[in-house]
Amino acid sequence: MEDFLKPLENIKQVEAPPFLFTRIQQRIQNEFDNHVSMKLVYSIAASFVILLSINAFTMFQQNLSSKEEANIAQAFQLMPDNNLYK
Amino acid sequence: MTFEETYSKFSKLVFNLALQYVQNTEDAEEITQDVFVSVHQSRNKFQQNSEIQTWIYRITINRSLDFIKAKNRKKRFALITSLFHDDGNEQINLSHHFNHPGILLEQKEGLASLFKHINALPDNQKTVLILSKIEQKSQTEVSEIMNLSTKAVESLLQRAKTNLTKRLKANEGN
Repeated sequence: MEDFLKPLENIKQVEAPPFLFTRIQQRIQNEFDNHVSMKLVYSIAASFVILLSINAFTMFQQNLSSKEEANIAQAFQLMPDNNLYK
Repeated sequence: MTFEETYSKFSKLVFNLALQYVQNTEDAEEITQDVFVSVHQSRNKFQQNSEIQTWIYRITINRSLDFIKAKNRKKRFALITSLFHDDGNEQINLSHHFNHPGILLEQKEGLASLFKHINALPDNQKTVLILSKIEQKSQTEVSEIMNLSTKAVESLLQRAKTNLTKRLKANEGN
């Protein structure tokens, strides 16, 4: 029954082509050159988060100071704009 | 063991095992490259030689099976696109080219026909057959490589033989 599988035993082992190792080394080098380190990715992400937080904080502070300015202007009956002829 | 030493020791094993799956030199070269890039990435994980060998067997088998699946997907895609784009100029050559350097010329035709049926077997049956009949591994070694019990390997081999016999008989009938 197994006779039909007999020819499989005659398959010879062959050597890998000699240039293959150079190609593998080249591929490893290419992957290394194109590799972006996770340290760099994390530091860019952290800088972005810090920048966004500073931006949000400044906007919040500006909002507060404009409210204070409006209150002072109202207390001293100052004109809130430069239009003199209403 | 340095990477170069690992390559010298296992390149023949990887290249030949890949050849048994794809029966084509160019494809086997591509699989061998993939395998050794992975080996380079994980080379520090393994200390013992036997551990590396079993792992290299596993990774070669997985890469070969993935390669065949990807090639079949490309074939299907090319077939579908060819139905919609009737460009006579551009032809995609994805047909299976039997080019196994380990097979003698006088046996080429017979073995090409046998491999056609082996390639149609389920992945695990194909792997058992390749490891035990072509790579001449013992059932214990096959069970270690495939991470199965020896009973399971025996049963897979039996099923592979039965399926092949059926296929060959059906082929003779046609």
